[in-house]
Amino acid sequence: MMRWLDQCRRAKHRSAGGQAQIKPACRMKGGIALSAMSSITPVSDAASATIIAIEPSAIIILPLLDYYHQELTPMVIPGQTVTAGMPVASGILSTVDGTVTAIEGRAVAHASGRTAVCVVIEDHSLAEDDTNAALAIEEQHDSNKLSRQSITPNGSLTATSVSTSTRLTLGNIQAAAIHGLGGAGFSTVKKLSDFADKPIQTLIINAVECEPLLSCDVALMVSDAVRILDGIRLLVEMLACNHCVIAIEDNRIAAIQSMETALKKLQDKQGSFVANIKLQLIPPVYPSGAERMLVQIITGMDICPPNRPANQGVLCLNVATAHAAWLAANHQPMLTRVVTIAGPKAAQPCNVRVKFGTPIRHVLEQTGNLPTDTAVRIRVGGPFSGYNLLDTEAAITATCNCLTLDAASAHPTAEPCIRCGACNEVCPVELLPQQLLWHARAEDLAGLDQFNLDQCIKCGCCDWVCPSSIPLTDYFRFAQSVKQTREYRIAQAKLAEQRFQQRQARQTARKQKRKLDIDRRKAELRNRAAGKTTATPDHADQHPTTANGTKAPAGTATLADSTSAQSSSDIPPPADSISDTLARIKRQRSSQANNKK
Amino acid sequence: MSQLDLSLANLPQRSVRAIMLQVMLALIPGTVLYAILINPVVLINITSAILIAMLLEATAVALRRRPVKSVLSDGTVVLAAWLLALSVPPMLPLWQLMIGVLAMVLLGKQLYGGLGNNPFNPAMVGYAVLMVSFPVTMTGWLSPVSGWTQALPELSLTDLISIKTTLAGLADSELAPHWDALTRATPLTDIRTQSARDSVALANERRYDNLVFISLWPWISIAWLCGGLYLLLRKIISWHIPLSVLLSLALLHALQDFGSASAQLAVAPAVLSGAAILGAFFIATDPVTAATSQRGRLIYGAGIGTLMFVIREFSAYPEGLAFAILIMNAAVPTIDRLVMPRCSNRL
Repeated sequence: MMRWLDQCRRAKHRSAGGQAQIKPACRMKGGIALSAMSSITPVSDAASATIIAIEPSAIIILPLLDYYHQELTPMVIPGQTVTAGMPVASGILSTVDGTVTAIEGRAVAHASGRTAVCVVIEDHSLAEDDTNAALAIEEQHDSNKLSRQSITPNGSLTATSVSTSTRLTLGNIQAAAIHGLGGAGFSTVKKLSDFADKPIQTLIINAVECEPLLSCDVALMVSDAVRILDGIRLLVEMLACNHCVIAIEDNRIAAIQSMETALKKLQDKQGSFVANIKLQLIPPVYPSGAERMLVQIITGMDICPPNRPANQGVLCLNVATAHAAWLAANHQPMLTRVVTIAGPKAAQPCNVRVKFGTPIRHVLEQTGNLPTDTAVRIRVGGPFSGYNLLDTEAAITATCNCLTLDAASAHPTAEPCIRCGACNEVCPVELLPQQLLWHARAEDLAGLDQFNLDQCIKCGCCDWVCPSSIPLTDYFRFAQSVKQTREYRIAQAKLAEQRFQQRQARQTARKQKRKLDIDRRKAELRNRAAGKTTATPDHADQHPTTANGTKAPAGTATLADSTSAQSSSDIPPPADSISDTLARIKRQRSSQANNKK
Repeated sequence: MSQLDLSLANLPQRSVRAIMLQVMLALIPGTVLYAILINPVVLINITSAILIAMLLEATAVALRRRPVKSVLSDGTVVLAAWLLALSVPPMLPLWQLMIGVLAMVLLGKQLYGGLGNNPFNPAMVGYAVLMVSFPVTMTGWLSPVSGWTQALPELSLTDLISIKTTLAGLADSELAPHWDALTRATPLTDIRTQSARDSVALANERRYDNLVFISLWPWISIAWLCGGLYLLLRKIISWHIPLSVLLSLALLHALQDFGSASAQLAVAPAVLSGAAILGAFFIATDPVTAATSQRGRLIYGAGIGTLMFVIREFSAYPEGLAFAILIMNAAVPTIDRLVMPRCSNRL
């Protein structure tokens, strides 16, 4: 019934004569069709599309971690006054005007519940009695154009009209510290600059929600489509690409309509230039929103890591990233994101604009969603690919697209795998999760490689369909981390080996050099001694054979011969004192004398 | 706003238990028909096999210090016992059936570490042990001329049960005068060998018997088929294994018919008789021991069909399902490795 209704709605949209293309180039294999899961069919009307604002939090916690979870070096010190938009570390901006109170380990939003070094900033705007500080900020505001036009908490911008003269550059994007606002949070600068020599033919704007429960991108498209499209236009101009495809799930009717209207408006204003920007509707199958899957759906190319779409002339950016690009072009840093709060236990499901660094507890409190019940589980991300939040003091980052609240006992205990194969049927990258599980449990890295563990996009489809409720994706995440650790250790061991070999080579070289030096010095000494013998016969008892002056040159020649022979052969001679050498020479001489006899 | 409130609770989540219950549900029509048309004693076999299997499984699991309740409640052992009881001749002495169950639970399943770890189909392990240990009783099928009451008019149900509980079963009982009521093999072997074995007079008589016999079995096979189609519809099993088993079996029988002028066994009876349908839909599809990818399942099924044909035609065993499945079980790791999805079109 729901499926039928869904189809009717889509058919209605089609007949309305939208500009959107209906049939994508390619179909994704596997995945979970949303029309088949009526209970989770997403919101598609404007009611969900309002983005609400919340009171800012008194403190802001900015984890100093990059995309690879490597720690960054802070660029501020405790006690320092910072302004919104000022970098506190490479690629991380302060989102408020305030004072750095501490740089310390805090819980961060991570599946492991790990802690990381965070910059903790106290928001000045809340301490209004502190006039001095406010003045100080005012001064800094004047000096800093970038932070001057910061976003008001509800996300409405100070600039009201879309200017067409603005241009977007990589510098803008870098200054605005734009990270992908999808689920991965890859640095947009890195994405744009890594394959800078490769021309980009197709720009794909990912307006497909990461997960069925999410509606943050829809909300953004409904509320701010004009700016998004202008941002897209700026990106197209910057990249000088031929095509731009905006991909939207075909059941997000409100977003499609909003984007179509905005596109028409832009085309009216800009004329033929924007003719190559088009909307593409795709079937709502999770995980179409994953970059790799979307690139496959739109272009038909299955680009898997370590290769990247940009290397094939395709660039995929989230729709919220395009919005942030518009802000960057207008010299406004990326300080906020839209977060969906949803789930069966969410008291007030909503989309809310949150500053990065706001503690999750604060967001839940402000939206009236803070669970009073301990039986509520908070997940960062959606029901498929999210992870359980262990500490609500952790802060919102660019990747926190959704907070899902559901019952804590939702996940039953895992039963044995019966190899039913339900997982490989839904795997969008055509892996065999049941086989991978076997190898992951055994930590058999060779087997994991054989079954392409690296290809896993961790979408969580296999967890979802597993009749034995096995947390497969957790196993794969764990196996990947084991693999990384082992590879890291191997790399470390190789480095150590290299260092050791280099040290040995250095030592041998040094030894040989010393040996040569010693020999040379010996030869010199010998020469000098020979010279001295002729001058002073006092040393004659030491060199009885040289007593005869005629034999002395022959003796030195022998010494020279033996030295050259020694240096030419690589075997270092046993270290001996000068007297030993002389005694040996003496023996050689006597034996030579015997031979002559 | 309310539309954002989506329930995660009523998602289409399946459990092992639900899958097993569905399979058991699909077995009911065939089982009932079997009891009515062939022999009601099969119900006693099924019940006792299930009880003993659960008892053995509980003991083994308790000894292995695993949670007994959750293991028993997944229903896998019940299903396996049910299938074993259906595969053996109904008049098999009860104690022999129990040995089969013992082999099934302990040798076939728990010795490997329980559900999910057994490389061989437990029910077929039990069957194979019985077949090798008790070849006489395992091939002694009652010939129901038109149902058991007509075959043995002077025997009541209680008599049948009492015969079942004796040590030697049917062969040594007071039924000896009614020797004609027994066929010492499945109808398949009978048809295959009758012309060579029997005198003309006996052959005529037997042919009549066998025709009736065959006319009863297909109904049960059709019941299994209905159950199997139900499982396909509910997506409990995939079509790959049943189709490839039946297709390869039918194809080979058709080829044989085509080759030899005297059509001994037509294709339809060959597929519809014996354990082909039951095996293809219910036994070979055991996910634990089958190949796991779709292409692998096609190969696995085709292998079973081919081996069934070979065993039926060229060996002393009348029915080759159990051995075909066990041999292909052994080949599964190799199949899985061979048909791994290739990533050729990846960039």
